[in-house]
Amino acid sequence: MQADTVYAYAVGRIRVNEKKLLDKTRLDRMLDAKTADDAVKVLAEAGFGFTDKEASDALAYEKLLDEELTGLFSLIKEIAPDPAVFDIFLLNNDYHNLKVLLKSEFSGINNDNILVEAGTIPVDKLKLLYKERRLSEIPEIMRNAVEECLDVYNRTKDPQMIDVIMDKAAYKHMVQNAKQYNIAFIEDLLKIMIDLANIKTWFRIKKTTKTADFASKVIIDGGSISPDFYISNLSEPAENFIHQLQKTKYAKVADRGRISFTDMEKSADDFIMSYVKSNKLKPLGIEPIVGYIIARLTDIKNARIIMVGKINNLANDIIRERLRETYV
Amino acid sequence: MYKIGVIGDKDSILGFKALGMSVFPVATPEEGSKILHQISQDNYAVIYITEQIAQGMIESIEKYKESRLPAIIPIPGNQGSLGIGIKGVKKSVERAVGADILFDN
Repeated sequence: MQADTVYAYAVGRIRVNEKKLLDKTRLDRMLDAKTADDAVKVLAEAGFGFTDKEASDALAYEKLLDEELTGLFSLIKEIAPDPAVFDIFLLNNDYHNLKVLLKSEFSGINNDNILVEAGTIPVDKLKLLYKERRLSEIPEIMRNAVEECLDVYNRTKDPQMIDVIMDKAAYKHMVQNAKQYNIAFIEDLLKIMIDLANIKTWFRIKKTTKTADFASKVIIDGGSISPDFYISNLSEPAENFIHQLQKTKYAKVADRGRISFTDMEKSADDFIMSYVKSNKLKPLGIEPIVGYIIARLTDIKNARIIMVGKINNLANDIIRERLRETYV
Repeated sequence: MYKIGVIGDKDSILGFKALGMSVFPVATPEEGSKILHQISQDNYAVIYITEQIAQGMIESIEKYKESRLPAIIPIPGNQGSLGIGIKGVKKSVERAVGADILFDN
């Protein structure tokens, strides 16, 4: 494990950037904006995106948010002593991109517009490697997953299997990556992310009455709760599952599962936020940097919720109850 | 095989994609007219257009009124109904059977 002081410079830069986060005041201003165009101005002010700030109108907000996502990770790359540590936050975008490429090929429909720039492998390179089948040049877990997708899809023609295989591989890759650097804070965070993903998945497969066999394919290994717990509880009523989770730190998230998926997802995001927040004040160390990444990702999510709400004229209280807890 | 198209604001129409329809998100009636013109040549039997967009491009829609395909049908967007779609159905029924048999007025 490295000494915490290697992050001193990075933490300094992060503290400055924290001032630009969407705090409650900024979110309120967005909510109170009369039009979506006015709301998007708050984003430009908070440093979102990097091109054409003057011309940004409401409908261009998606571009602004995409740019911000790319910008966030180029900042991290610039200031972190060992940027690869933060790859765990980028890997899911690589896997998203591969899903897009696989599905585009199988369906014959070009979907390049939904590729995400912020991955560990630049989109253009990934596209080329995939197209020319130079899969030996991508990391092993990723390569195996792509090969499995090609094989399984050609046999079953079931596009859902692409999601199942890729999602599982993404987490496996993240766990492997985190192990390599051996930083307890990140490993714990990843465990929480996996637990929460599994809890959300459990409620979904329960509701869609999928089989235990399907569950064993989608429940992810590597969390603090073993996959068996989810699979064996599938034949029991949801109340039992919620009851058993009361003994864990996820009691509140599970409770929300009773109400609705929307509530549960918010509660799961808030759980992660409160975890990183509790480590925010560490003067040095990796915690404030990870905290900032989660904070800015949450900003992007909140901004999207407000913009979609504003463009579609939703009432403020409906938008507000969906907003995630903020870092500052 | 004939296809079904949907034109409207993105958030209103994206869900139709899951049903296998082709969706064409547009922001203005002008864009809508352009898309409609393009896809009307392209084997679409039915084209749904959200009323919010349709009300600004009545002229373009009228052009297809007498042709057999595509059938252009205004649908309510996520902002609620403007009554354009229903009015159209009423008119078509009156034309076909000679009387308003769907609504009592």
